[in-house]
Amino acid sequence: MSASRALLLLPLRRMPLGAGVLAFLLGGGASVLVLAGWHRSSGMATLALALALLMAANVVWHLLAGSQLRELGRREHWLLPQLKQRLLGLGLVGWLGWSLPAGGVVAVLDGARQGLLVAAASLLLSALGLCIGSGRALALWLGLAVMAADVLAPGLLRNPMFWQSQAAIVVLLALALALLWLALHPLGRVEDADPAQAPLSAVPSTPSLEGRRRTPLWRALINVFDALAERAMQRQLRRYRQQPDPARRLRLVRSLLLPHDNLAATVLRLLGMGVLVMAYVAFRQKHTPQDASFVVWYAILLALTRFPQIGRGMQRMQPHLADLYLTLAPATHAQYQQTLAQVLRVLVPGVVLNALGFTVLGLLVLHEGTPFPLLLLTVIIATAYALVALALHLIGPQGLVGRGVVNVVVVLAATLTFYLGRWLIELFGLWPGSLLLAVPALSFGIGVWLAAQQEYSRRRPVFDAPAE
Amino acid sequence: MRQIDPSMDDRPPSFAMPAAAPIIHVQALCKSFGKRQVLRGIDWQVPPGRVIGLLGRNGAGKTTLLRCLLGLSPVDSGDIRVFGESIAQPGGERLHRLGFVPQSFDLFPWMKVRGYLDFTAAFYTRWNAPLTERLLGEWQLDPKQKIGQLSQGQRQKLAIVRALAPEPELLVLDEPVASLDPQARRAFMDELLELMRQPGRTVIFSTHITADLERAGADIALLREGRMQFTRPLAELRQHLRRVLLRRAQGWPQPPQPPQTPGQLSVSVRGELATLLVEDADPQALQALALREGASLSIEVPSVEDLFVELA
Repeated sequence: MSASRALLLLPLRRMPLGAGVLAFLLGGGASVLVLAGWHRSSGMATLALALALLMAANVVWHLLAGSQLRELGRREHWLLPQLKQRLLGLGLVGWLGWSLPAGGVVAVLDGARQGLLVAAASLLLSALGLCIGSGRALALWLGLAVMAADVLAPGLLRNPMFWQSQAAIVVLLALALALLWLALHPLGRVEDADPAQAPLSAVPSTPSLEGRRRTPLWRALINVFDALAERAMQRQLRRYRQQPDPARRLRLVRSLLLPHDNLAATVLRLLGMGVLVMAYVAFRQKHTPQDASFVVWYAILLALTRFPQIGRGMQRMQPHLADLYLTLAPATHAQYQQTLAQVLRVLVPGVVLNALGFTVLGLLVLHEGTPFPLLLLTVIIATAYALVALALHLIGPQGLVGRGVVNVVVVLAATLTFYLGRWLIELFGLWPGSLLLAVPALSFGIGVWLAAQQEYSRRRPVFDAPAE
Repeated sequence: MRQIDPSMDDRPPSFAMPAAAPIIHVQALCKSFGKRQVLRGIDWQVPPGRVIGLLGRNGAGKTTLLRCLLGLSPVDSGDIRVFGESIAQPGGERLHRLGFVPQSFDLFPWMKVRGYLDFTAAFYTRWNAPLTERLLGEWQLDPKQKIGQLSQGQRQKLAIVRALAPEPELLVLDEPVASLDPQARRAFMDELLELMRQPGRTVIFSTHITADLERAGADIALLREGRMQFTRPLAELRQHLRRVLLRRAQGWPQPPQPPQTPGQLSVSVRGELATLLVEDADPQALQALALREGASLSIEVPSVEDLFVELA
């Protein structure tokens, strides 16, 4: 196999779930495009749908490619012969492959200028995917910049005249080049790597980002969280020394394994995320009045994102937990497993608190007149699905694909239950509707958690490194 | 070209085991990872008060064996007893009589060195705080530094400090000196020997640095292809084993096959030199062999490295 072909296939081989999504989008886009050509009467709407699917595929592909680029971005990889040239060649061919067909079709149907606009938009999407995939946090600031631009120059981005002008193409191309620079420039820098974070740390990170250089703001943030974690642990240590009972022992172990889940760190995180949530909701509200239910649903899902992180972290820390195992000196394996399960259980109230906090902030921005039903709904759904998600990550599939499926199932189930709950409250009133929802949802959550805890305690602790 | 006498596998240890009950008793231990069989029916006894150097080539199963001994890796079949009790369950305080230094140490990168040691000490009834302070100072570990910012060698030092502090009866170290500089390695060996001066202490450590084994006067346990070849005191190996060098100008199309040389453990040929490892060598038989083959003969006491190269 040639080196270029191996590089091209690398993202698909490493991330089969992403490859599946890509195949789905590409297949869908191609089918709709063929359909549009077959039934010319279907008009521009079908073509727009095909283009949307292909653009989405473009973003997904570049997300995968960016993720692999991050892996390849270690200095020792650059020693491979002609790696940079090959990557550059693949990048150029890739962009032409994504942009030219889309731009060409639009140019034929709607004129050369529109074709150029689509090609430039395609490049921007490629760059955006690459930038986010390669872990450049600055890509996320682009969204905020767009929001700010819309606030400062109201209506500009929604003005059809702007999109008809040559300036739109120039702006899109400039943004795309800026993002490409952001994504590719750091790969050439030689810098000291930052230390890794704790596997179950609540500060978001991905394993492949570990040991890489982070932005000064990010590093400062991590230092603040680490200082809070150190203080919290010292406090628990003092308490345990004063009176070494099982409850204090558990809290001490919790301060070690979940260093960023102490009260001060939770409040700080809530405030930080709250500002972003509020900015987002305020931005959306400015243009189109938001449905409060949608904001609450989003708040719940945002809080539940803690669990996929826990799932990954638990796998990563497996081999190193031997030290804790010897330190705790449990009488039986079950005792040790129960200790870990009890430590992780604290995540449930933490996630509910976060969901509630985000919901309150969102509802404040929306000036929601009757917040109580939605707050009640948040508590019920977040509690039930936090228990389910934790249970599934505790005893569920260990593979990347399996964990991905678990995450999708939890999101879908939480969404369905949320809208079912909303419907029940509308239909039967607040208390009867809430009760109708709470009894089965919480029973389900608690039942799944208890069963998972029992199964986890039955299993032997694992200290072997997880299979890649 | 090297051949090893297959009868070595079944040979019982030739030295008399001390009368004390073994601190580790392994019987018919088998362990596989998928289809790859790593440990193939290991029988092993470790008497108390010994330093055991576990030798074996890469992939021989040293780390797996050590992890199985501590109950950190489930076994497929066989029985392991530590301090006379099965390790099927951790057994509570028994784990505090064990010390373990793993190959890598990465769990608590956010913690500071002092915080980590304080945390660990809180769970132990016996913790030699003056020793930890002394080692932190001598090994130049800054208590205020985050673990994530330590180099691999510094982390290894910290793991060793943590393992020594509870003064364990059984200390298991998985390649503890691999990341250490020569000074730190020597300091570590000094501490290890100091620990061994206290009665009833047993140390098992895997290593590729054979000079450390010679310095510690360790018993040599050789693991090859998932089987324990032997566990014998170094002094006894030195007394009984000889490295026999046969040299002739025309080289060795076939390795010398001495029918009259008992105790031959291995033979290897490189160019004009044939090297034999022989137990309880009979000088007359070797002279006869050299004469018959038309080769010059020299007989040496093998170093541990020689033994490793010839037998592992």
